[in-house]
Amino acid sequence: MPVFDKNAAFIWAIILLGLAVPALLGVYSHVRLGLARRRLARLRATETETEE
Amino acid sequence: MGHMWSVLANPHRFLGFSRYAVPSAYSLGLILFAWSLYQALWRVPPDEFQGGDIMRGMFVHVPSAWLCMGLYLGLAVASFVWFIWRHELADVAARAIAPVGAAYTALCLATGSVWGKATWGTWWLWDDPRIMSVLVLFFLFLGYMALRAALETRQSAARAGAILAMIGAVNVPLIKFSVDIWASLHQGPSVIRAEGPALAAVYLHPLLIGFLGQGLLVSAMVLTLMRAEIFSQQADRLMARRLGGG
Repeated sequence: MPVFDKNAAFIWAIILLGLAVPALLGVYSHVRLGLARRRLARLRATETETEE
Repeated sequence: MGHMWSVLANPHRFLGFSRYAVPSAYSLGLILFAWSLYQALWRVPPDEFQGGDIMRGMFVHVPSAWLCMGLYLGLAVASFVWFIWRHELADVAARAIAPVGAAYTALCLATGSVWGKATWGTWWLWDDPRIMSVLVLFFLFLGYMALRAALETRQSAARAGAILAMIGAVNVPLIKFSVDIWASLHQGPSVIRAEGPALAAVYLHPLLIGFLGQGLLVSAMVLTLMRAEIFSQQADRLMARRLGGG
């Protein structure tokens, strides 16, 4: 790990925030996609059952 | 270019395109972002004129600041396209951009606050025009999402949201030029300026590559949320048809 003369806690806080926000956004967007996809698949499946 | 837009205007073609664009943007974005962080933490020498080691925070804070302004411009342009041409995919894009823009604006404010504590000795300054104009941007993103959520129909939500997004675009040049117009603790522009960048290449190149990497990650997230919105609209239409007995 790199060693800094001063402000190490502040530097790591900024880096961690910079990693956490894209990671959480990535998870959020994929959860939203998964939920929307499953809801559509469920509706399509029940529609096919009704037609049969 | 015009042909590309007309091809992507079709939601089915957009779904086909984004299916491959999302993993490509994630992969390249992660590589570039990781490289820029490696440079920031291990390779770049501390700049004593910029407060020593704390300037390493620039490689997260500055791209987040550029991206939140870029995302708002994207929101305003998508809103304009929907407002004039009623292009449904533009509205889908606007809805997808808003939460990502809000998160990146929050990131910009939070990292700026930490950097401010280390260099200026304070977490927050209520009279700093740059901080205040970015805070307004954050509230514009939140206001856009709240306004859309509060309205009954998709059309009325899109119309009200588009008007707010277009009016709010005035704030973006205010953020950019706030340090030139008013007295601010923020330094003046050091990259995007008429005389060319003031930053040395050893800092500038990792910064720009990190920005490109984060830009690709943001694009992948926006495309993913657009895909989610299209599937959600398709499900809503199926539901409406069923309820209507059609």
